[in-house]
Amino acid sequence: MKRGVLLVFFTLIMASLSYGHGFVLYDVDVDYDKPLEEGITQAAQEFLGLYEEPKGFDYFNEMLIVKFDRQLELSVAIHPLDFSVVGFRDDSLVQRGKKAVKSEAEMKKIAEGQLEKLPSSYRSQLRYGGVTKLYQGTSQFFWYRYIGEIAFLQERFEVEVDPVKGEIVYWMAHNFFYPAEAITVNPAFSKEVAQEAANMYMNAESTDEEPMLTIIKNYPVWLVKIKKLYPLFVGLDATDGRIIFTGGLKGELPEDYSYNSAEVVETSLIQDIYGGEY
Amino acid sequence: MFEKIKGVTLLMLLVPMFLFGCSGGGDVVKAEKLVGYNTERFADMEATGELINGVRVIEISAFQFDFAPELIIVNKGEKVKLIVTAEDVPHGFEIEGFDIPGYDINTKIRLGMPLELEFVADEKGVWEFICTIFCGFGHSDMTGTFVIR
Repeated sequence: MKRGVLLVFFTLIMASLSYGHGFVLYDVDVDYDKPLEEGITQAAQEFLGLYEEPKGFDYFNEMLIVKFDRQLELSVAIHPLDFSVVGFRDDSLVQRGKKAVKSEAEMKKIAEGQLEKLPSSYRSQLRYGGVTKLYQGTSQFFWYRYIGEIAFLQERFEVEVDPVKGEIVYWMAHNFFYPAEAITVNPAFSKEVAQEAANMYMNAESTDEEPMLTIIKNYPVWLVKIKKLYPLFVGLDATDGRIIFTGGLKGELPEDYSYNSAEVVETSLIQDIYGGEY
Repeated sequence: MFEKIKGVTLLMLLVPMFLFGCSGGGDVVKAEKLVGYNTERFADMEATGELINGVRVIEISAFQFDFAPELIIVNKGEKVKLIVTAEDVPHGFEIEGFDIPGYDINTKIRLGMPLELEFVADEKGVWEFICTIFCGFGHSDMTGTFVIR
C-alpha cells in the first residue's frame, strides 16, 4: 500500500468519521402527523392512567418518548407503528436517602418479572448481560439481543430497580431493527485481516485485545481496539471493510463479551478485492 | 553435493515464506487490498451534479426514508451548492462531522421550501449525511454518503 495514500486517508478518517445516526433527538415535532401524535399520546396516557397533555416528545432509536410535566422525569416510550408501550420511566419512584434493603439477586428477580412480560418472540432473542449500579442507588439490569453467539451493539432490554422498595423505576425494550433471518451474521474477512486493516487505516498499533464481532442493524461489524495516542475502537463493516466509526463504542455490549470466532464467508466482492479486481 | 545445496537453499527460501504466511503475512496483504479498495473506490466515479458558473450544483431529494442521490461525490476545492428538497414531510440535513459555516443542523426543511447550502469543499474525506428531524419510523435509515476527493 502506498504510504502516502494511507497517511492522507488517515487524516481524512480522523477528520470525518462519526458513525451513528443520532440515537436521540430531544423535543421533536410530530405535528405533521396528527394520527401519530394522537396515537402515541393516547397510548402513554392509558398506560399511566393519566389524562393530561404531554409536555413534549423525544426520539430514541426509532421510538418516541412521551414526556409529562413533572419535576422528576415521567415518560412512556411508544412504538410509532403500533403504539405499543416499549418503555417507561418514573423517577419519583426512587427512594432517595433511604437504606437499601433489596439484594442484587432480589432486584434481578424483580427485573426478570418485567422481562417475562415481553412477547416471547422478542424475549427469546435476549440473553442476560450484566448489571450497572447507578448514582441514585438503583441498579440497571441488561439483556442483549443475540444471534447465535453474536451480540448486537444497539439492541437490548434494560430494567432499573430501586433497592428500597424494589419498584421498577425504568424499563426499555429497544427496537429490534431487523428480523434475525434478514441479518448477515458471517463476516466476509477474518479478525486478523480486520486488525491489520484497522492498523493501516489509522496508522496505529494493535492492542492486546482481539477484535470482537457484533451486529449493527443487519450487518456484522468487527470492533477492533487499536493503540493511537490512547486506545480507541475502529468499527469495520465486516462485509466490505469500510470504517463505520472510530472512537468510543457506539452502543453497549455485555460484560466480558469477546466473541470473534464466527465462520468467515468470503463474498464475491471480497474475493474480487483479494484477487485484485478493484 | 550440488543437489544438496540446492535443496537447502530451497528450504531456506520456503520456510520463511511458510512462517510469514502463518504469522499473518497473508492477512497483511489482504488487509492492504481491503484498505486500498475502500480508500480509492470513489476515485474514478463521476462527480455528482452540474457545474454551473464554477459552482457544483447538486439537487437532493429527501423523503421517507431516504435521500436521492444517496452518494454525492465532489472534488476538493470546488464551490458546492446543495439544494435539499423535502418531498413528503419535514426533514433535516447534516453532513455528520463536516462543518458548514453558518448552517444550523436543526433547520427544518419544510415542503415547498428547499434548503440551499453553499460551501467550499476544502477537506478530502468521506462523511455520512443524515436527516436531523424526526420524520417517522425509519428515520434512522435516512443516510447517504458524501465524498470529497
